[in-house]
Parts: sequence; structure tokens; C-alpha cells
Amino acid sequence: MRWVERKSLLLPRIEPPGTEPPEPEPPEPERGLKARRRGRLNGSVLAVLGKGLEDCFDEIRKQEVPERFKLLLQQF
Amino acid sequence: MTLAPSLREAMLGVVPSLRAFAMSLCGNVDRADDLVQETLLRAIANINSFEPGTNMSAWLFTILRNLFRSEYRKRRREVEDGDGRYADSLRSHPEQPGRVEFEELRVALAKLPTDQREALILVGASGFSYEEAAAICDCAVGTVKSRVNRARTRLAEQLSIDSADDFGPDRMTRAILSAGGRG
Repeated sequence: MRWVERKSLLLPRIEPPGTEPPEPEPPEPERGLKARRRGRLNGSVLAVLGKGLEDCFDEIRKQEVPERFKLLLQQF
Repeated sequence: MTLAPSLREAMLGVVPSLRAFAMSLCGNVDRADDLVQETLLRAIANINSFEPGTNMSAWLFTILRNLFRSEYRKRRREVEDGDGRYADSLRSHPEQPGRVEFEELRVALAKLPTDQREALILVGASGFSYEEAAAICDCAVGTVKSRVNRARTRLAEQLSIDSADDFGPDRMTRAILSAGGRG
């Protein structure tokens, strides 16, 4: 038995003038890549986070020690 | 029981940092101070187990963390903040520009898993080394490093920090100055 390659019975579509298919657009950069660029850790990001954390904690650390703790420790 | 003056002074000196750490765990000043008080009482009761010359701060942090995990998780809702209440409790109306980003950081911190927040605060804010933080958390150094890294990554993503210009109290000021308003 000979396998005969089946040829497509569909004729190539002829576009009317003025409706040429658009040229393929150049590939866009991956959306995931752009999204992933935000929030990547590097030296400057680490420095910013570290400074932010220290500043947050300094707000409490710089407060005067409440009397309750001074009194508590004085009892012993 | 009488505390040596040096020990009393050393414990008092750690209280500000203890309060800040407790605040990060409890999310509430009153609860944080209660936790610190219990920590000091527990430390005083077990002062004989403290080796003079070793790190008093790490010892107290360990006690506080263990107290929080064993007692406060049982008695109070742990601040995993599934419904956002803890994060909301940290919101305030900023009185001045630049404060918004402080609050953003606080809220983002509150949204971290407890383990990550704890590790990040110990290493990034309280100044402990990875080894000290691992001793406080009773886990491997690698675990602490992993938690800190994941916490930092999540914070950076939530705050959309890509560079030093993306966050910080100077951003607003810098933007104003660069807008050509200089005389």
C-alpha cells in the first residue's frame, strides 16, 4: 500500500487589496521579566530596607523607658 | 532575690530594644509592654542560668520570643493577620510627607509570616548576627538566612523597591527639590 500524501484541499486565501495582514510585531520583552525586575534584591535595596527597619525601630528604642520597668527592676 | 547592680543596669539597657521587638510581635504597645514585663520577671527568676560576660541582650530576646510563642499564641490571637487587622492597627494618618512610607513599611512588615518577620527584625533591626539570631530562634543559621532573605524579598516586592530612590523619607523632598523650585 502506498501512502499518498494528502494535499490540502484548501486554496490559499486571497486577501482583497488593502487588507494585507499586518507585519509581525517585534517580540515584546517578557512581562514576567519586567514585573520581576521590581523588588529584586541588590545592594541599594538592602540598604534602603535596612535603614527603613532601623528607623522604624528607633522610634520605639528612643522612647524613655517606662517607669513600670524601672520600678520592677528596682524591686530586686 | 537581689540583682547585682551591673545586671540590673544591663537589663534596663536592653528594655528599649526588647520593647521594639515585642511590639513587632504583638502589634500593640500595651501587649508588648506586658510581654517585656513578663520577660524581665522570667529573667530575674532564672538569673542564675545567665552566664556573666555573655550576651545579655540575646538571652533576654530568647526569653521574650519563647514567652511570646508559648503563652501569647495560646491566650491571644497571634498576629498572622489573616484578616488584616494587625496591619490596619498600624495605619495612621501621616502628619507630614515621608511618614507614608514609614507606615507602608510597618504594614508590609506586619504582613510577613511570623518566622520571617522575627528573623528579619532580629538581624535587620536589632543588630544580631545570623548566629545569634539562630540561637534566639533555636534553629539553624541557614534557616535564619533563608527567612531573612525571603522576608527582604517580600518587603521589596510589596513596597516596589527597585533602587535606593524608590523608598525613603527623602524621596518626597528630593522630588520637590528637583522640580525646579530652587531660588
